[in-house]
Amino acid sequence: MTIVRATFDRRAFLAVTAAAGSLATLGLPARSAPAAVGMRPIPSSGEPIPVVGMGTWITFNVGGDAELRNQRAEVMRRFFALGGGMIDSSPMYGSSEAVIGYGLERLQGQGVGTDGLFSATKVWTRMFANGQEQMAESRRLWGVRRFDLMQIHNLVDWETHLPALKADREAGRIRYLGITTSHGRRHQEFADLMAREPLDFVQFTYNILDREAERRLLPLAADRGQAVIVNRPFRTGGLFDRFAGYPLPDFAAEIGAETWAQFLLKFVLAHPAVTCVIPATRRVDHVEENMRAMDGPLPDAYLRRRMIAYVESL
Amino acid sequence: MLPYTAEILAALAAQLNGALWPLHLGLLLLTALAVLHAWRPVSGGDRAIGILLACGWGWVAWIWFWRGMAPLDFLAPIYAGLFVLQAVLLLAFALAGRLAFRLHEAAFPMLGLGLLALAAVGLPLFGFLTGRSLSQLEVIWLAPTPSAVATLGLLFLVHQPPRILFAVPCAWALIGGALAWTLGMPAPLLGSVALLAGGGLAVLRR
Ligand SMILES: NC(=O)c1ccc[n+]([C@@H]2O[C@H](COP(=O)([O-])OP(=O)(O)OC[C@H]3O[C@@H](n4cnc5c(N)ncnc54)[C@H](OP(=O)(O)O)[C@@H]3O)[C@@H](O)[C@H]2O)c1
Repeated sequence: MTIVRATFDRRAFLAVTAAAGSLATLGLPARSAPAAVGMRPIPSSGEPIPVVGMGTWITFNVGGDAELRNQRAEVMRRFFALGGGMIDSSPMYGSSEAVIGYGLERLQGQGVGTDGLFSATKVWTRMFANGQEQMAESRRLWGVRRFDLMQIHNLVDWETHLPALKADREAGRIRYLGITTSHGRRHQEFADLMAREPLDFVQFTYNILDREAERRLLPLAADRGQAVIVNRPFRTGGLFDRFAGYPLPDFAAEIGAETWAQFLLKFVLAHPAVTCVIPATRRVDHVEENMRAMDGPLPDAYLRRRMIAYVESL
Repeated sequence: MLPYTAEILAALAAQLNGALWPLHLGLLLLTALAVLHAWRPVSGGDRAIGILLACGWGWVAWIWFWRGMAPLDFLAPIYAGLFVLQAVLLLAFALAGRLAFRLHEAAFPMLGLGLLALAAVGLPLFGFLTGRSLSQLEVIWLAPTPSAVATLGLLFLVHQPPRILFAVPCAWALIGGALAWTLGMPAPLLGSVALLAGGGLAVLRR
C-alpha cells in the first residue's frame, strides 16, 4: 500500500476527507487498510486534525519545578515541530494544565509556532466544584480564549454539564463537545449517551490488549459520525513493561514500525473509526518516536490479527 | 492510579528544602530539646512540647499537603485534613496537661528514642542510599512520614500516652505506605512499616 504523509496545514483540507467514507466502514476488509495519512477529519465538521496527539496525565503534572516545566516545554516544542495538534488534559491532572499553559507561553515567547494546537480539556467537578468556574480556570491556566474541545471527564455529573456544554458550543464558547471514559468503565451508559446525544468527540481506551471498544463503542462512533480519541494506547506504559524484553516481529517492517511504540500506535490508528490517539510522554525522544507512527503504512485486517496473535503469545 | 510520579515528589521535597533551609536545623534542635526535657523535665516543658508538636502537624498539613501536594493531587486536601485533626488532638491533650514526657516513666523509652533516630537520621539516610540526592531528602517536620515517625517516637516517651493519639499516625501509615508502595519509594515505605509496628504496639499494650 502506498503511504502518504499529509501536510499539517490544517486549513489545507486534506484528501483524507475523501477517506471519511471508508472510516465509516466498520468491518476491516480482508486486505485493505486506511493509508497512514497524518490527519483525519472530525466527522461533525470535516476539519482535519493530526492523528497523533498528546496526553498529559501524570507526565505533565510536575508542579512548580522550573527544570521539569522547561523539559515539558521541550516535549511540546518537538510535538508541534513534528506536526502535533491535539493536547489533552483535565483539571483532574493536578498541575498539568498549568504546565501546558507555561509551555505554550514559553514557546510563543520564543517565536515557536503553536498555531497547530488543538486544545482539549475536560470538566471534572468533584467535591462541589462549579463547572463554569472550573472551565474558566482551565482557560486561564492554558492561556487560551476558548477550548477547541471540552469533554465531560468520565461522565462525572454529565446531567449538569451536557446541557451547559451544548449551550457553550451553540454560543461559540467551545468548538466541539465530547465525553470520556477509560479502562472500560461505564461503557453501557457511555454508549447510551453516544447513541442519543449530538457529541462531536468521544474518548475511551483502546489498545492492542484492551480491545473491548471494538465490540460496541468504535462501531457506534462511526455510525453516529463521532470523532474517536483513543486514550491509554500503551496502557499507561504497562505495555512497554510487558513487551519491552521481546523483539518486534519480522512483519513489523511491513508497516515501517521500528519500535514497540510505533507498532502499538499503528495498531490503534489502523482501526477505521479512530480519529486520533493521544500517547503521553515526558520525553522528547519518545514524542519523536510516537509522532513517527503517522508515517508509513498501517496494518490491514490480516496484519492486525497477526499483531494480536504475536503479542498474546509473548 | 496516582496522578504523579516519585520523581515529582523528589522535586517537591527539593523545592521545599531549598526554600526553607536552614529552618531544618532549628526544627531538629527543637526535637532534641524535647528529648532533653523528657530526660530532665523542666516546668512548663510538657505543655510547650505538646503545643509545638501540634504546630508541627499543622505545619506539615500546610506546607507539604496544602502548598506542595494540593496542586498535584486532588486528594491532598484530605490528607491535610488528617494532619490537622492530629494537630487538634495533640493541642487538646497538651492543654489538658495529659502529655507528660518522662523518659524514666515511659513504657518503651528505647523504642521512642529509636523511632526518633529513625525519623531524624535513618529515613533521610535510607532515602539517600536508595537514590535521592541530598536536596531531595524527606525530613522531619516537612515531609509527612518522617514527621509521623518522630511523633510516635515522642509519644513513646510520654507517661501513659492517650491511645487516640496513635490513630492518625497509623492511618497515615496505611495511606502513606500505599502511596510509597505504588510509587516505589523505599524510605517512606520503611517509615510506614515502622509507624504501623509502633502504633500497633502502643494500641495493643494497655
Ligand atoms: N478518562 C479519561 O478521560 C482519560 C483516562 C486515561 C487517559 N486519558 C488521556 O489519555 C492520555 C494517554 O493515556 P495514559 O497517559 O494513561 O497512558 P499511555 O499514553 O498509554 O502511556 C503513557 C506512558 O507510556 C510511556 N511512553 C510514551 N511514549 C513512549 C515511547 N515512545 N517509548 C516508551 N515509552 C513511552 C510514557 O513514559 P515516558 O514518559 O517515559 O515516555 C508513559 O509512562 C492521558 O495522558 C490522558 O490525557 C484520559
